[in-house]
Amino acid sequence: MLNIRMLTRVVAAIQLFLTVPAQADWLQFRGTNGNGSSSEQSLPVEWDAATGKGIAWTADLPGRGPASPIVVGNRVIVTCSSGYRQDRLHILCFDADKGGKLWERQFWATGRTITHASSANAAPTPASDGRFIYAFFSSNDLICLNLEGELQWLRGLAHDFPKAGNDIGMSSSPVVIDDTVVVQAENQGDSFAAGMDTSDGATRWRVERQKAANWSSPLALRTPQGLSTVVMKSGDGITAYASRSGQVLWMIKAAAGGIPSLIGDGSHLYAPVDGLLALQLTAQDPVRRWTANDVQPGSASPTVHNGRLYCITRAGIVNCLDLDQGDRKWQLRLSQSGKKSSAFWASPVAAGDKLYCINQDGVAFVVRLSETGEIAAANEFGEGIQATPALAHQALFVRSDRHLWKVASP
Amino acid sequence: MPAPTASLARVSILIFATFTPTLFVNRPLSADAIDDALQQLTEAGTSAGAASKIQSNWKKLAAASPQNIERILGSIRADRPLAANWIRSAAETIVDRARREGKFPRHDLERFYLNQQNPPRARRMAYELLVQEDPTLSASWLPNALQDTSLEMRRDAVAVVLQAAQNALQTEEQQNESAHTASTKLFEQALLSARDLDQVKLAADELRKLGKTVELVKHFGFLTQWQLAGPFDNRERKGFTEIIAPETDPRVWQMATTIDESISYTGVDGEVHWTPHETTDEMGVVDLNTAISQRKEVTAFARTVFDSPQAAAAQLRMTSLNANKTWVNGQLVMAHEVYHAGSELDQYVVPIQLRKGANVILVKLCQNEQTEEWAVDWKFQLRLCDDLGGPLPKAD
Repeated sequence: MLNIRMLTRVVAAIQLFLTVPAQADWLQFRGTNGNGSSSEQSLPVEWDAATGKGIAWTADLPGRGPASPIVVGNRVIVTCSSGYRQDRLHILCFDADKGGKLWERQFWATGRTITHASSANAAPTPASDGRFIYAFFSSNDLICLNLEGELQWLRGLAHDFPKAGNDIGMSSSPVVIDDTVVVQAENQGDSFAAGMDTSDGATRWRVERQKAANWSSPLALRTPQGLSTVVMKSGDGITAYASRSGQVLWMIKAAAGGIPSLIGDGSHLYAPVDGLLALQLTAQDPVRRWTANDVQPGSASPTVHNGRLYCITRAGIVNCLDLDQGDRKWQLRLSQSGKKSSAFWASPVAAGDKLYCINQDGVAFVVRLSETGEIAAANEFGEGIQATPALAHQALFVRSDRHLWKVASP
Repeated sequence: MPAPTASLARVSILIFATFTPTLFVNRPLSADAIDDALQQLTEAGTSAGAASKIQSNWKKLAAASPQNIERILGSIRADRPLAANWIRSAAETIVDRARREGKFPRHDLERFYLNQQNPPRARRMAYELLVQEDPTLSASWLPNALQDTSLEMRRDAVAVVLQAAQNALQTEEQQNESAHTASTKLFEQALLSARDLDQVKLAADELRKLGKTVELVKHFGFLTQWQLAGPFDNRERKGFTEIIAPETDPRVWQMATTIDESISYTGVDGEVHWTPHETTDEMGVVDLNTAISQRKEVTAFARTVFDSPQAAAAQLRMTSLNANKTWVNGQLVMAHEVYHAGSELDQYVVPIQLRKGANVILVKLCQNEQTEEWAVDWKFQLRLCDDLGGPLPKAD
């Protein structure tokens, strides 16, 4: 006889099967692989938010946030923070096809909520393993919901580490690997990184980190030898941790503090340091392959796509580097004629022969990639944008402090 | 089929049809069961570790009837922030379901909101749920929320009055009415209730344009009369943890309003004395670069006395880009070793207990070695207020 426990297991197995991440998902900051690269085809080149041209749908958002949208199956998840004190936390789920709001959950922040006026409590991008959503905020609130919006567990990490915080705002996005959700909360107070069990939020491990402000996100990867690893960078170096235990696998000294995050392509890591540093992953310590000191990434993180690395400098110049040697292939200034260059906070993302770069004024440059780069279009959103777009469903999902857009070819 | 067997089958089906649903559908939770689940959630460990127990109680609550919404919202406590989020989420789930089923508990939520004794955040939640159903409610309720215990309600109420004041001002200007009686009254009303800096400044700016005097120092309760001692050493940022002479000087904690200026300590440049300093900044900023000297890698102390007419609970609110420690009546109440990492008003808030009469407050403020132009500031603001940010009464 099928007892309740067996039935539960069967249902869970079916749910798991149904919710295994599809290739089209965009599950975390800079995509499922964390490298800003997508296999999507037929992404749009031209659109205009003001006229609605190329905009499949627009949804209003109840709060601010540099956090990127993520896409899990047919769901687009966005986090926001609102209120005079930015202490209201929102997690919203939209239908990817039609744009309707499927659900919204709200929480109260339990940690520090002060940020620079240009940022918000909802700065870290949520992450998903395809079954659950892990939403993290500058206030160090970590909330796990299922895809129907039901609360599974929550952690107020500021409760355990009350001095953890940075009043410019924290922005490091969590990653999920091997049933562990990993956060990097580096600051001048209680500075740490921790791995939490995805099933109940219990702390699997916690390590102290350099006591200094850091806005970069960890990178989850499986080494060529199959080790599940989380790599973090800060002012004193780059450290790799075993994802389930927090054991230090290797560490190298490098001045790698600041804002842009690490990126990888499976066999190599690329670190914004004083320029860019390429590390080859091995069974032991990584091997330095090349450095490119003449390329200084700005606030946006680099992207690796089809054998090339793309990064945007503070001056708004996109650089294309060859991954083998670090040679610069081309440069391109991202500006509209007659207009001053603007800063880029959103990281570039790429699919096929297109690179999408959105500046803080809400101008989305579409760069056609070939032996050189050329601006194929400069599309206006008409609102400031700091969030990296998500690429899925043959569309870009872009959010501002007020709106979420689905940009798709008709 | 023989008749008895058919009857038996029919009876079996009837029994099955009657009782089977009860095996799968949640029975309504009793009040005791709800209280028990709430208690378990409220007492649940603030960290993870008891997640399955918490989840199970959350599921019980989330399945409760909307008739229990007052009981559930009423258990949201400010001193249990994690439990508050669990309970909030359960309440949200209940109301979502009730909406879909056409059972939105409007009257229960109204009763809950209108009772000022209920927890402020939970009342605000009830208000928002109600306004989603009936947006006209805000127009009838906000005028009564100027003194609300919920800062969010109060903010919305002040916004309404500020808008009315702006409208009145516009009308007065169109009619060349120079007295501006109506707009002045409304701006004053808004200022009296406002607790958020943007609203306070807006009302204050408009009142000043209308020729009125506004004292923001009094509105916020900034402490402006200090005695300063410094600079002491903070090379390698050691001054924050090192115990420096004024911290252990018993004369600092005597209740006298001022401390003898002849008392001396050894500072980085030789002898250091307590010198009086009154800030005239309208937001109570004590600028040590001006009052002592613009230096790097130094520490200084600021001492003041607050005369309270009664023993009272209060909040001490500190704002500073520099590493700081604050003592009240000899007891360390806050310590933040953070330099130049963002700031805004009321950056650090701590509850304190004031005694009747003189209360000695000592601040230690450390400047670090950073030389960037954004790392020059060496200053602080400190205020004492109630838990909504209003000023405390002072003894005559």
